[in-house]
Amino acid sequence: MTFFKKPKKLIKENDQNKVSDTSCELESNVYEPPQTIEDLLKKVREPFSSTEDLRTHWVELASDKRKIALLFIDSIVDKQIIQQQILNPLFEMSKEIDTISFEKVISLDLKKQTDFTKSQELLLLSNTLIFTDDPSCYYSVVTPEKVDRDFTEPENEKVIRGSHEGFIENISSNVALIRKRLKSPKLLVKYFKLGKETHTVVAMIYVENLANPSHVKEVEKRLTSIEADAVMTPGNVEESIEDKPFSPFPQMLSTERPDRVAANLMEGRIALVYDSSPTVNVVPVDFFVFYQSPDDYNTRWILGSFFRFIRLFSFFIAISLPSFYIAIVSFHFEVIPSALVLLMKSSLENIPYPPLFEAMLMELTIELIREASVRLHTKIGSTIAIVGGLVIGDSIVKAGLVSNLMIIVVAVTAIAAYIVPSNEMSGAIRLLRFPLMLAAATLGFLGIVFCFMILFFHLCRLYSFGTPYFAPIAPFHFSDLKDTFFRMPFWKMNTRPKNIRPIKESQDNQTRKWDTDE
Amino acid sequence: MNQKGLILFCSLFLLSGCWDQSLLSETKLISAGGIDYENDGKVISTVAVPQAIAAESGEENVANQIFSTSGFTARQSRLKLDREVSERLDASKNLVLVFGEKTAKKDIYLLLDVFYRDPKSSLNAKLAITKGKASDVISTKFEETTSSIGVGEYLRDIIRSAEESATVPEENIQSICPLLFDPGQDFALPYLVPRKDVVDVEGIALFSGHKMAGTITGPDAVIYVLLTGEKSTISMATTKKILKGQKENILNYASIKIKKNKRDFKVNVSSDGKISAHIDLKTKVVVTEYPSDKLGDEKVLKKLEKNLSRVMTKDATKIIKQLQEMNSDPFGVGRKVMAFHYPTWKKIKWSEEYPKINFTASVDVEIIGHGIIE
Repeated sequence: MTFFKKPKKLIKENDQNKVSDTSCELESNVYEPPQTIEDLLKKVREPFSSTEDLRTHWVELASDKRKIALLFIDSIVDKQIIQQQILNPLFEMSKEIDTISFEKVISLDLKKQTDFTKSQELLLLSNTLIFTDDPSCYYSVVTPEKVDRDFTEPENEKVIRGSHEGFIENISSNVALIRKRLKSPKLLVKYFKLGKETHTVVAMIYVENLANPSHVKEVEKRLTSIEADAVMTPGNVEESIEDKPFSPFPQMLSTERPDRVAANLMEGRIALVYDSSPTVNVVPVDFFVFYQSPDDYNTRWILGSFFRFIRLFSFFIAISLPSFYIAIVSFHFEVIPSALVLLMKSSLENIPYPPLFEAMLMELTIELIREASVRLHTKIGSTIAIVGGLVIGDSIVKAGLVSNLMIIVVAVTAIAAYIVPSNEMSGAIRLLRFPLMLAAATLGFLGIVFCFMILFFHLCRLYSFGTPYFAPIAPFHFSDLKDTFFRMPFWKMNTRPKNIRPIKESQDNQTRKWDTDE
Repeated sequence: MNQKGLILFCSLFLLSGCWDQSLLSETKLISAGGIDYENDGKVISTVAVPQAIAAESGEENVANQIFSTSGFTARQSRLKLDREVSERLDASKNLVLVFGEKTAKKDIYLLLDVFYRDPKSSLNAKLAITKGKASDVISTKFEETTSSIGVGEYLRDIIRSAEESATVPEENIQSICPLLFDPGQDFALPYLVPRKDVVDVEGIALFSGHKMAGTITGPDAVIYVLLTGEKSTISMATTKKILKGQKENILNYASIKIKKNKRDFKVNVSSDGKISAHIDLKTKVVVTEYPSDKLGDEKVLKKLEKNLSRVMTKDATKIIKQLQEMNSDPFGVGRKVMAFHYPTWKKIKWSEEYPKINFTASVDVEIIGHGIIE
């Protein structure tokens, strides 16, 4: 213990306050270390100007009085690790060895660095830098502080049966969650650093023998071409690399579910994992990917198909029901069954304004309620639900501002819009029904048809990283319909989706071999 | 280009206006219409417009508003009606169209023309002929109409129930359109008789060309519907007097329900140009009422079958005779002649020839069930 100069105490001091740190540094002048280290440190510290959480810690070896400097940003490092993996070994070592061979003794993560321009980045990535009297090189140890939350189930993607794990805000944990599911040596992880100032780490993950190399190259190209100062959120990256930024449709799947990502990786897609974000993006995607939920594959396939069908049906309801209603009551009421027509008429009779206005009013009210309840605490949220749902819904009818039927239409539409298991897609649908309502109020059914035509033109023309977005409908692949409108049984799904052109198209899915082998 | 597109897109919404908008809340829906000729040849249109009187609990009462005007044509009288009524009149949800008997005896197409021309007119509205004036049927407050449903719905429902029991053939504005222009076939419509509190579907009104020629009423109408080849309806049933001189009069009767009806319809032209037609019905029936009973006995059953066949053949022959007298050809004998014996068709004048042809019918009844008692 005597060889080392109060290592324990130093750590304590570090914990106490920052003043002691600076005093420690001032003290260092008294020790008169070789000029080179000082200069070196000064040079490394320079880009950080005078931030106070960048700390230098001096260690003097008992054997030869040599000084070693540790440099780290104390807000993002785990001091326990520094103590255990750097200071303790140093202390043990300095008993016998004259020349310190760090590589042999200290932590697993130790790396010898010679490039001094990298030091800044390493510091920001929770490294502790070790400077010795050798001015030509320094060492880095990754000492990240772990303040992770649990892998809780994502709030917006719940399932009944299936994994209840969700991604968290730590990239290495997230990658680990995926690796845990795909224990394949072919699972490749590539790290990118985005944002000149933020240095956000993005991991590109794909299965090497499945993902099409051209897609991998394309994603890589687009990612590296981002030259922004700040890339803070997955949304930033999404908007930087998606094909058509003006499209209302999401062109990347955002999910917080590792099982969903793993399943998509096995289809030959590529996942982008972001540091400090629980959202993982999957590319390339098609329209129907947004309608798949892990639940489908955990329930019996007939039930799964039923759910899938309901979801796709809800797409049409959510987009067109209000406009359909507007078109009927203002243009084509002859299509209403005669038993119903009097009922509808009496409900509409005393509404003082045109159906379009009535619908817009209610749709906007629903959006208001939604927006208010998203931001609010759960406890106040239920108040909003009562006020919004019951009070507005009931009294707006009694006041004669909106007809009963319109309330029903809007309520059904709202429910249908939230059935989609992807928040982005649900948003796109909610937005799209407004132009549709406008067209219906102007041209009736004709307007709806026009709008749907434009919508499907757009969907057919849309590409996600070079793959057709509306596949397998356009271009049509019969065999790929197995996982779109229906969810065929597991033993039937023997080929991967053709539109993403995986290297290996067919899967070895002989799960019911016992049944055929007799 | 983009700018141009934007301007075009905006103008779509800003300039189009509401040229063809017809708001449901600003329309008066006609549920039943009646057309009569006045003595001076003017057309009287009578329409019933149901007005729902909204009640709190969701139960609604229907009040019928009746409007009536006369004009030189059907359309003109409708236009006049429109001016009388507060909102716009719309006939697209019309359920029933009724003609007075006198009116139907003149050319009916002259009044129907307006319905075929309008793209929004309700072509599945039921047509009916009424004894007396159509306006009376539309405007009388019948017992059932005052309670909850409008007169249109009431009339539609009684016609529909008559169709289900096969007392009238199923026809609507759409379905008689080709028959109106077909020289080889005529049609028949329900014949209504208004009583004090109700409207009776008394039978059918037969047409010869565009004009009503006569009626068939009562149980004979069922035989008529059978002869048209109608396979089976929900409650195609009839009661026949098959015996004579039983102790109790009721024992003379048997009621049957037709389960299956197969028509074999042949039209022949002999070498000397004589046209003959024959309808052969094979019906499978269930006995629903036979007070004499003992149907478990094979012999009794066979005898009943024979009697039923005999009576129904007699009825069928009688009906055909009536039709020939009216010069009405609803089974389409003429159409068959036209299709398979065109040279003959070209030579003859069908309206003169039809009453004279040898037209016979035979009904073969097979009992396939006699209820749940032996």
